[in-house]
Amino acid sequence: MTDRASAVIALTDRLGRAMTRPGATADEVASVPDVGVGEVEVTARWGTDEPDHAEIVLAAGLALAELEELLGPARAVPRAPHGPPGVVFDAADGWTVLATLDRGGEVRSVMVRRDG
Amino acid sequence: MGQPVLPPCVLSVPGVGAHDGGVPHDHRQRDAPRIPDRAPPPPVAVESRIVGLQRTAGNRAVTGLLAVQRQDPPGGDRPLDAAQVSRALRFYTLQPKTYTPEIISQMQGAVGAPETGTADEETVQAVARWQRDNGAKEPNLKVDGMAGPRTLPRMFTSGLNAPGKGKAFGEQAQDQVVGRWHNLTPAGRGLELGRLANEHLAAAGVPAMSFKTESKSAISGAFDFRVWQMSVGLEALRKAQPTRDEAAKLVDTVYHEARHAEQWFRMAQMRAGRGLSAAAIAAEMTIPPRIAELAVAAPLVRGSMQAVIAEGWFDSAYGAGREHRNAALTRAEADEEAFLAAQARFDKDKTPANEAALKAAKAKRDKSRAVYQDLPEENDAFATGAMTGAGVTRGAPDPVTPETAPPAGPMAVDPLAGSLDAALAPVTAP
Repeated sequence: MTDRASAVIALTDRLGRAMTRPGATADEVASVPDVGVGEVEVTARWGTDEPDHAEIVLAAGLALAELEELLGPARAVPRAPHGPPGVVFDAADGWTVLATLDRGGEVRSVMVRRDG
Repeated sequence: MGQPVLPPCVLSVPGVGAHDGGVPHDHRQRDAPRIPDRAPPPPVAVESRIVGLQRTAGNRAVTGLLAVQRQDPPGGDRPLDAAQVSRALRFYTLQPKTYTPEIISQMQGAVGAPETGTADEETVQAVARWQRDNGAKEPNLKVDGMAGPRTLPRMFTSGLNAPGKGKAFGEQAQDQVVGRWHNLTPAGRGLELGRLANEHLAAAGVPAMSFKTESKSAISGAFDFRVWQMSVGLEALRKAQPTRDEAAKLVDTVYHEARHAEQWFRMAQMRAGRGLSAAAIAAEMTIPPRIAELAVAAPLVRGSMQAVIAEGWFDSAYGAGREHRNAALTRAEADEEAFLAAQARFDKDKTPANEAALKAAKAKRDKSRAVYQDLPEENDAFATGAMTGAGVTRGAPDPVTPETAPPAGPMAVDPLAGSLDAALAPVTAP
């Protein structure tokens, strides 16, 4: 596993913890440092300040296997309408990690979804 | 999501027949010939032929002619030939759990056939007539007598495709976004459209989506069920002064994607009606658990028409049609990219070779796009999005410039500055 994959996983963990903190706002979650692996975009739940999900758009592609090493096996998700292929990892601790792939199967972005 | 995805939410493919043929997901049926919508032969001509034949060759020959005519395909009251009738009947009888007597009766009622609860020739001919008379909107319905996941949502409309809803959305978008184009930022236009879409979804009992403008890829719109979010491409929202057609395309895209949200919620409600827990639905469909919980609180009754319609979408995305769907989306995306690349090469260097390559890429793109638009949930979303066009009547107004601004002075009315009476009050000399 590369340092970059570790950094991505660490960032998803920080984002997940920040999102599930009671009373957290989307702005607070957006202030989590991005550690240089890509751009982080936090989306609020409609009509509220509550964080709904955060997406890390990776600066460069990442092999799915590297994420699976730390997060366990991913499961393929049917493509969203007009959307790219994706996978989901087992949920834990109130959030779920999802990855979006390019056609070559490399991870292009990682999403952390608050499940509560 | 920083990669190009399918841009063509609102592009139509004339002449592409979307049909419900065969047993669900038997994609071999998708290339079945389309029945032409041709007019029946003039009755007078037929009668005179029969009378003439009777005179010259006798009743036996007339009987023969009539037998031939019964096998004659389309036209008038009997659009299907014998083979098509038999195929359509098999479609229903092979799916007894879906096409229960109750569902068949409702279909028969909708198409004006006797409500017997049993699919027979009269029923499938009536379904075919309904498809012919009501399925002309792009993507059009194939006239095959099989009311499957493309025909049923149009026959039994609800939510965003209920009569008048699309037009109403178009009118609201016209007034509140297109008509106020220069008063809103690009992101503000997107948010306002998202707000309108969520209002319509709420009226249909569907949870609100989050909304995002997408600047990193060439998408026109997308619905990501994984996080219950609609994305709309920033390019359309950034236009300086969209024409009527450009505005209509944007509004169509937003409604199209909102319809996908409705479809996904109906699927979750359908699964809830089958007794699945919220956790099981969330895991199975990869939707947010809170959305699954709302679906469990309002399940679709198993065996209801709404549930049957949702089953058609579910089968496409998660069931037997899943592989075909994923392949269709991947192929359409790749062919769109190849077409754009060929277009760029031709624009740069207009050689005959580049022109030929562009033509070939376009033909391939059109073919894969047609397959993609034929997916049940896409067929429905394209037809639903297009309904907004009736409400979008104008492009954005001319921007207000110092030259076009109303003259300042005592008669200038600023509705935000005070009452009309005050604005029109005579100016007294100081």
